[in-house]
Amino acid sequence: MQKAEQRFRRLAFFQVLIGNLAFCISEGQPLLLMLVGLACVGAWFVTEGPWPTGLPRPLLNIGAVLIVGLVLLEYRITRGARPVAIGGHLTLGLQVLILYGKRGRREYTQLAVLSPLQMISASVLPGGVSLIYAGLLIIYGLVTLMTAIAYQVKRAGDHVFDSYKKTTRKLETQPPAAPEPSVGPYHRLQLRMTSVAVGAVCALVAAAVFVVVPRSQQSDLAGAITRPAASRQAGYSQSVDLVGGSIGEGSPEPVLNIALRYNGAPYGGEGINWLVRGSALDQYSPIDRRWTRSQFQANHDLTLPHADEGVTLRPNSADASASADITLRRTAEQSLFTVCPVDGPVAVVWFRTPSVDRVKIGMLDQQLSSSSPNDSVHTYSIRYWLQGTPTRPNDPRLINPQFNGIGADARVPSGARRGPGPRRRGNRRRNALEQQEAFLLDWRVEREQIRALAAGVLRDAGYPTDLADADADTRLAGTRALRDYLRDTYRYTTDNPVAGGRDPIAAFLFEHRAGHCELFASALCAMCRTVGIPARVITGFRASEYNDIGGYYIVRQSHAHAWTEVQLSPTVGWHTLDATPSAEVDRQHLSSTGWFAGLREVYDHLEFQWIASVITYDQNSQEQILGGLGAFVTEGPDRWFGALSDWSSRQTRNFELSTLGYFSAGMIVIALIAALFSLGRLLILRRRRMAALQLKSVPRTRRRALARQLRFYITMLEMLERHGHLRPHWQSPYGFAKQLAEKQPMRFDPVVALTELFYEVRFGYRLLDTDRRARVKLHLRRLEHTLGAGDELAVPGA
Amino acid sequence: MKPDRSRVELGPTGPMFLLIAALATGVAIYTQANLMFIVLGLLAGGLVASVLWLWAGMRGLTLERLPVAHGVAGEELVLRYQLLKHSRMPGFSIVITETWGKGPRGYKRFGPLAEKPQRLLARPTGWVMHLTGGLTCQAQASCWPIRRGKLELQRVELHTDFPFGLLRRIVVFHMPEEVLILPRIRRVTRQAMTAVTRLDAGGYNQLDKEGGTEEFYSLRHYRKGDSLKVIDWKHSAKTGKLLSRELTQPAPPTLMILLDLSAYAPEKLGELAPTLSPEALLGVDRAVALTASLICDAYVTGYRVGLMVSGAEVDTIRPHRSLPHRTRMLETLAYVEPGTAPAIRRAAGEVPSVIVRPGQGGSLAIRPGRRTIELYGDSLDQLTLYNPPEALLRQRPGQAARAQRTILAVSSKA
Repeated sequence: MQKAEQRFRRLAFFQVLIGNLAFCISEGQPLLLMLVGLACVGAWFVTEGPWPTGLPRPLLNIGAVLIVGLVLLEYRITRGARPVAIGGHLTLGLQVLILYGKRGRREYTQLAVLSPLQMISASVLPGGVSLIYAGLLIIYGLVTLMTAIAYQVKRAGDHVFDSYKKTTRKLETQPPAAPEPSVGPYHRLQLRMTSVAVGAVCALVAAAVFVVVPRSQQSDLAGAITRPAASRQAGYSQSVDLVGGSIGEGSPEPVLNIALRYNGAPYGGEGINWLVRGSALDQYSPIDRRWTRSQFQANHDLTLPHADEGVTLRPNSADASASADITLRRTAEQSLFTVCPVDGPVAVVWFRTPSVDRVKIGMLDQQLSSSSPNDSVHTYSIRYWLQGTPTRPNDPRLINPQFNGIGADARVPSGARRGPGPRRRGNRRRNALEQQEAFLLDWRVEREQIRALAAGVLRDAGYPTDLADADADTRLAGTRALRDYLRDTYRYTTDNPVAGGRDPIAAFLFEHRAGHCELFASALCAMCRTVGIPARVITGFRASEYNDIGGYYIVRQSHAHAWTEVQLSPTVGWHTLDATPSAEVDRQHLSSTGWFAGLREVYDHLEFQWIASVITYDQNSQEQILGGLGAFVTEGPDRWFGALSDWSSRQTRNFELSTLGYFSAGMIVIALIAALFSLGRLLILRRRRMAALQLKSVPRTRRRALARQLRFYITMLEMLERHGHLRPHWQSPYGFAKQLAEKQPMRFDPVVALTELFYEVRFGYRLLDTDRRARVKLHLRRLEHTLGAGDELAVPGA
Repeated sequence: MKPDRSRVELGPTGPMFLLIAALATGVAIYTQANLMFIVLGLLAGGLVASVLWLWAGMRGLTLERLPVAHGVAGEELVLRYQLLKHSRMPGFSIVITETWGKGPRGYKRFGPLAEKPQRLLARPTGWVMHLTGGLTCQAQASCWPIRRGKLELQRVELHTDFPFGLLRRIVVFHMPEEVLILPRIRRVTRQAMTAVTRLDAGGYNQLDKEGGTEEFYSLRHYRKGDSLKVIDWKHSAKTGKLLSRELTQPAPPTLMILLDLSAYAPEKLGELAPTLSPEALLGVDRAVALTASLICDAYVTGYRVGLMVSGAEVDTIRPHRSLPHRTRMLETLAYVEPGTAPAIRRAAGEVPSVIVRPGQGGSLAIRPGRRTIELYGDSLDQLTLYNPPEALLRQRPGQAARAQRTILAVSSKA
């Protein structure tokens, strides 16, 4: 009883601890994690340490009031923006407080309610997608199962004991001792086996529910209440602020995964880098010193509902296809990222986002974004048009520049609420492109100085100093020259000295000559605009870390990057150029090496698999799985029989047999079946014999020898059985012998003697020596005689 | 014996489970978070596992109640059972409860808990932590009967809510049986017994019979083996034959107790007895308990005890001293029903030395000047050794000490 109590108490403590840690990890609060860990250790010391005690109840009540006050304060400070997280803080604080007190049935009931509520809130928080949380959730489930079973075992005893205590208190007699439970043999083993079976049933049902329950769209309010506090890490932003100060290196937290495919095969590798395009920023404010997306671009956004077949922006007439499956993780932004080469044209021709309700696409800058913040993890696909076979993976010719931007013949789903028709859209796009070019040439910060610098670079490289009227090839060559100039002449650093009164871009170009990627991108954009080339700054990530196990790129917060896009011509379209020294960026993005890197790669892959298979499970996945299951059920038997007949026909062809051969083979098969049957029967008989001789608890090494010596008892039982005296399996040998002897003492006297010999050998560690063997033979003979005589003397029907 | 009926109801954690499941379902539908669907699935799995286990864990269960000789009011009565599980699946956390009437609340309408005054304060309850499949197991359930008489057992209920307490399966076995509960017995204080002893001519009596060690009875011829001390040398010398002295046997004092229930007796034989209120019944029980306590203490002290009951249909038991005699008197007292016979007008040949009457609100009356003392059921606590529980002593030492002082005061008064 005490052991069961102690076991349950510790399991409950462990369950609460795991739940608290899981919540902290899901919320992504390392400080809270540390505090909660310390508090739980303290609670363990107070209640389970060398001097187990508990804090007095008034102190706990004061603590509870304080916790409620703190949570209300947090709610007020955050203006109710994160009710789920705040509710989790409340349950967490109360649980830790309860752990410090003496815990009775009421406290355990409170914990049993609070702990699952906390896990529910942790599961809907965005941080719940990590593999660590998944592991903790599994451990939590197992510990909860064990705790529940331990509680049930304990609770029945408590129920009985409480009833006793209540009665004796009323009678004013001595309180009774705790009732000792009736426990059968092998109870530990059977309890463990039962726990495993119950856990397996739970897991199976959970898997079935997970797969079968239909999914629908998440409500907007749900996204709002489960949103994380803020963008916690340095990384991607929808605007670029050049005020100054270090940008930091960012955290290694994964942001998204990109699986590139070319003609269905994984596509990419270590050393092959891609740019993950997020926001296109075309407006620079000298006052705020910030790049933003202009209202001009936003006015040409097209809002489209998601469609199962995806949205085609151009008809497919390509020879081959390249696609990217992007798994977006841990972000509260609205951006949907696309992939483009480091030095190449920009184009997206098809996309499909089943898990996002509505998608906005910029008709001029091809910026994708969802209509609401991406609060949950989801996947989407993008496809590119290709012409010809690429010679190398990042060949700029992979994507046909002619199809840059959204064409007038884009197939918009019928459910689109807004947007003009194809003809009107085409007219609007033509007008917009003309206005856009003028808009994207605008530059007002130290224009003449920057123009002079750019013109000097172009002149040195042998290109005209004004590229406004140049063709696409000359523009591309000129911008590459500018890019190379910046790469070679300027130094990359994450520090950005405060420019004081001067504009940061001008300060970067003419004073510091060192800066981070945003300054390089801004500087190239400024130089291009001053020499007549429309340009814009792009923010996103640089995908350089390739996971060989899974065949995809992992993009982390620390991979945040900025680069430039220049318009080669209105018909050719836009081209990406990264002015940042690539060697420096690659060194910064370089992942660790050695065994730790291998471990990290495995962990990343497992986490990605978890996210891909569980977290992002949606209607499409459900249809695939259920469809596959249906096909397996309907077509499976036919397929199996087909395979079996194929195999048999092949074997028949390989081994041509005569009639005698078939007969021999048949006999062999029958003999094998008979041998298997006999073996099974032998095993069953042996098992029964072991049970009859009560040898199950004997070590295996002794079983055989004892079974050989105790064979006489089996013989005796068989003799008795032949005469209708069957020993029930629950009756002990002694009880059986006593029962028979009480009925007919003279007749069953040998049974008593043989049973005594059985006990001597089985439990008394005596050997079946010659003397005992002789006695056994004698008693068996006597028994045979008395049994036969008894049958003859028996009166029929008596 | 196989179960008569079986039912399933919500377990103790069922409401909490339903609440959490409803919340999880709402959150899962609302947020469409896949982890919530797993949580929801685990909750559903718990429910399915509970249903499966309720079916398997109580399948093939038979029960037999082992016979009980008797119990004593106010003391623990242990009922023993033998369970056999025919199926191979084990059973866990099976609670055995005696119950009366039909339905889950039947025991509140029928049986000893529904009687006024109650015979039991709570249902006898036992616990089997683990029942191996295919094997038998013995279990026991304890209860504390508070009234003497027949305790009628009717049904045995087995229930389990393993593994999660969400659902509870109850199987009921109909097994009527009676257990005789003897009156409550307490140890009488020494002073009180001394007071009773003084009434009986003081000290020990002697039987007019040889073979003892007390006083001279007669002379007889010497027999081989006689001690030299018992040889009467003087008479032997006179007669020339060895003569031995024979001594009388000691006889313990006799205590004849009259349990006077004539207050509740009908005037004439055949008349209906008045219906007693619960308080009156409790008063009778206290008087019976005092009588039983005196009988037991007298037996331990070495008295010969007899019993007469006035106002109840009980045969007079003549004084004697033996264990079966004591048991017979206790069983008689257990069955005493007030008002079943008229009052005894004149005791035939037996003079009671102690008269015990049900409580009348009066104080203890021991009058040493008379040959008979009168005791009232109200004085039971004063006359008997008061053993407060240890917990009570710890919590309220003042009260316990007061109780002890009261006993001494009564004794000194006596």
